[in-house]
Amino acid sequence: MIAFTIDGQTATASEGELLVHAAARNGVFIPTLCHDDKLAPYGGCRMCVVGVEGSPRPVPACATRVSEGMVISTNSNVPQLRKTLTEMLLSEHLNADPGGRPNELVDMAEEFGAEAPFILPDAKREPYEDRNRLMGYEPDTCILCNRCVRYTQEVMQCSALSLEGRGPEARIVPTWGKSWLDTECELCGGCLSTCPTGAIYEKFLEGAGVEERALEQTKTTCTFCGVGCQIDLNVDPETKRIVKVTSKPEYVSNEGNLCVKGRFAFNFVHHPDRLTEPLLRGEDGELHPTTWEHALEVAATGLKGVMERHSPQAVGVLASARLTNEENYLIQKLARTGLQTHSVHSCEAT
Amino acid sequence: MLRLASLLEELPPERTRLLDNLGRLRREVGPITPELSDALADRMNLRHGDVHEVVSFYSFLQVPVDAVRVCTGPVCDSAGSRDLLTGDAIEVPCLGHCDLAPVVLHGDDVVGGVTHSTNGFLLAPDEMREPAELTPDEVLERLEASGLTGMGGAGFPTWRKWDAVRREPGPRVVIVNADEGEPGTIKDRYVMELRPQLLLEGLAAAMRFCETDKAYIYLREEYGTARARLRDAIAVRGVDVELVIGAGAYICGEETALLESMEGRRGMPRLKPPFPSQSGYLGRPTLINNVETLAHIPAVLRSEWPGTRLWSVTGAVAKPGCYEAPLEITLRRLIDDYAGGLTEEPSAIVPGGAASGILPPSAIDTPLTREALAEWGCGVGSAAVQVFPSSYSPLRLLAETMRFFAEESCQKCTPCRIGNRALHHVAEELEHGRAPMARHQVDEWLEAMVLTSICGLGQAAPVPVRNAFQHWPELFAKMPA
Repeated sequence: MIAFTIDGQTATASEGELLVHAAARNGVFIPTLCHDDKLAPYGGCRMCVVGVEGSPRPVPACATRVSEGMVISTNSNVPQLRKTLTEMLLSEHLNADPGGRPNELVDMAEEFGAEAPFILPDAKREPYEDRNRLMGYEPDTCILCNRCVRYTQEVMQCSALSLEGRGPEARIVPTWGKSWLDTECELCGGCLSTCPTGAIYEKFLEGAGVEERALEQTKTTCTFCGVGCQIDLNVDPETKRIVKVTSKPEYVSNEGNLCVKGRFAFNFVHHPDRLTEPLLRGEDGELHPTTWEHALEVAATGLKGVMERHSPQAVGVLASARLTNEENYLIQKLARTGLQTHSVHSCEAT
Repeated sequence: MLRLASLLEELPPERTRLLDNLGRLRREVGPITPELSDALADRMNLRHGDVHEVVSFYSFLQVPVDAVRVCTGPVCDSAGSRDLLTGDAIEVPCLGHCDLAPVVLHGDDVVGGVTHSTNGFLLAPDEMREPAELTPDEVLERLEASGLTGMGGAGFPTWRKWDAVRREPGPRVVIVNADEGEPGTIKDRYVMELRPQLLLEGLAAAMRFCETDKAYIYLREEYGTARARLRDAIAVRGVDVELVIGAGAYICGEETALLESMEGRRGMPRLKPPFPSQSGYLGRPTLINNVETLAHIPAVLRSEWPGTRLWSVTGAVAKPGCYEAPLEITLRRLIDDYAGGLTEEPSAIVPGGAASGILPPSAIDTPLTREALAEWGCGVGSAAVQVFPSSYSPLRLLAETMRFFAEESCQKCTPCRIGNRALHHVAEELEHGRAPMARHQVDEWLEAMVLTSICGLGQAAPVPVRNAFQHWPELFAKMPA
């Protein structure tokens, strides 16, 4: 354990702990924009600078490890620096809300009472249109914190986004300005999830008019595969329909990361063809609703009949790719002991 | 296409060769297009985006090798260089040939040829000599006794830098910072063009001290003559010194940005600590010295250093050039005794490069020492004295200086990225009689730049603005308090 002082209070940190984390644990919230715990410390936005005794300049809390005896201050000139840095970012922030996603810069501006003195004459960036149907990008909302680019490089290890150029023309753009569909991008939406200003956003029309923060969240498990990613279904309180899927860094098994299916392919929930109850084909050749008990009894009777007429080896079991390891174990148990067949397979094996 | 395919095969795949490979492609195939960039990325097993980021970071990789480049740095601008921007000519920031202003490069060649106006050790025969045989402790003693500081701009005591690297375990790396880019600064180019063996002798001493037999010289792309002279000198000396050629980016003169550039990434400064002496090139303890600093080392180690430095003197003087003169010389003596005197009444004088500040003409009897200049709110910087004629107003100079910083900002940190653009805007607006920002808010922004910028670019950029407030308050009369 390391002992340090923050705003006059003694506190402790673990070996190598980032200042921003140690401060938070001790009740001192330090604002950040370019920081994401999934990414290597970057120290670019400078919003998290704090005073450290003996240091000629304030240091970025997101990139500084607490050391023994460190004396940290967030009182003296730090509030003014935060306000000024926010003013700077606002002076080229032409579009605060392109797609309803939360904008942490706008939150900070309100908290610090910061306003742009003017809009920089070169603030307007080249518009960007992408022909993909899932993610949109508004360059005029981007603050160049580089989180999205670093996410593609450090987490996804793919080439989808670049920090292009130097000086006032610099911008973030899919590699060489191509469509995401023509890069290595898998449309996982990780860049969208890490963007602090909502410059990258879901393109869906449904729920587009509702701010993300006004949506009702229900935590559940993604059904698309056996990984079991934890997701939040975001429901429009008016229509009671799911309008987007999000996830949180603290969720186990996926740490807030999702794939294209988990994040974007939730429309099946509201699809008219979706099966919502057991159906049984009747004498008339049509499907009719029934109870689970009756449906399972009919299935069991049918299987038993096949086993009696043709031996158990005539029955095979094919497991869905969406099942977990545990569910697959139960399937083979059912096949081998219940149905007494070795013909059991998962389509994930091919 | 066949040529490209076989060339790609020849190119080494290590990421540290990325800048070099891009330079070769540009010379042998043409400006780097997205297709060329992707092809090289495939060859080097890099992501397309990684190479895209690097290619777009530098000014010249997407420009033909034989392009006509017109310098619009402050000295060239005050000499009317913008009138030369005709046809396909491209506008570039300071090209480091300010003594020849206005400067135009056609490919590698300076239009009109390179001439030198100089004195002192730069005129001595460039003989190949070995550095004095000394133990590491003796080297440190002599460096410390001499008081030699880095000549690149920051002025850090050289012995401390050497000592810090020596304290770290080997293998160590030695790099010569020859990415001279501070507007008005020409001294390193003079050393490389006139005394390359002297530089290599200083480098040999550093390599011996660091117990390494491999070193690098990171040279700015715009110095074609220096590149050729260095290549010859390295071959004559037969040492393992590799020339790494930049591609047009002022920020790469910042030592951690230089390391990033050498490692095949965008030249964006690293967070310090760790310092290069602890973890530098490829994580190894690294000694990075400016060209001129190393050129003084042979004399320092022989205890013969006279306490002089190289002053770049350009602008409205009779003999613009690079002169060896005492450290404590006054502006007037430097201009009159070395540079042939003023050619006209100056409006402003920059004592040591763009980031060192701006002096009013009344400061002409000030000694160019750290202490004396501090009283005027200025620094010695890279000792690049630029004299601006009365036709060039201090406000124009300020606007051009801030434009330079804005365009050269690497974009990593907010205060440098936006602060410089805003101050450029404010200076331009003041020229038109408008004040878009109140004085107290400008002061707050300057303070945030000084305190929170990652590297020296953003930290020092406010100096000329504060000088302008101090020395020409009448220019800001329209600005609300």
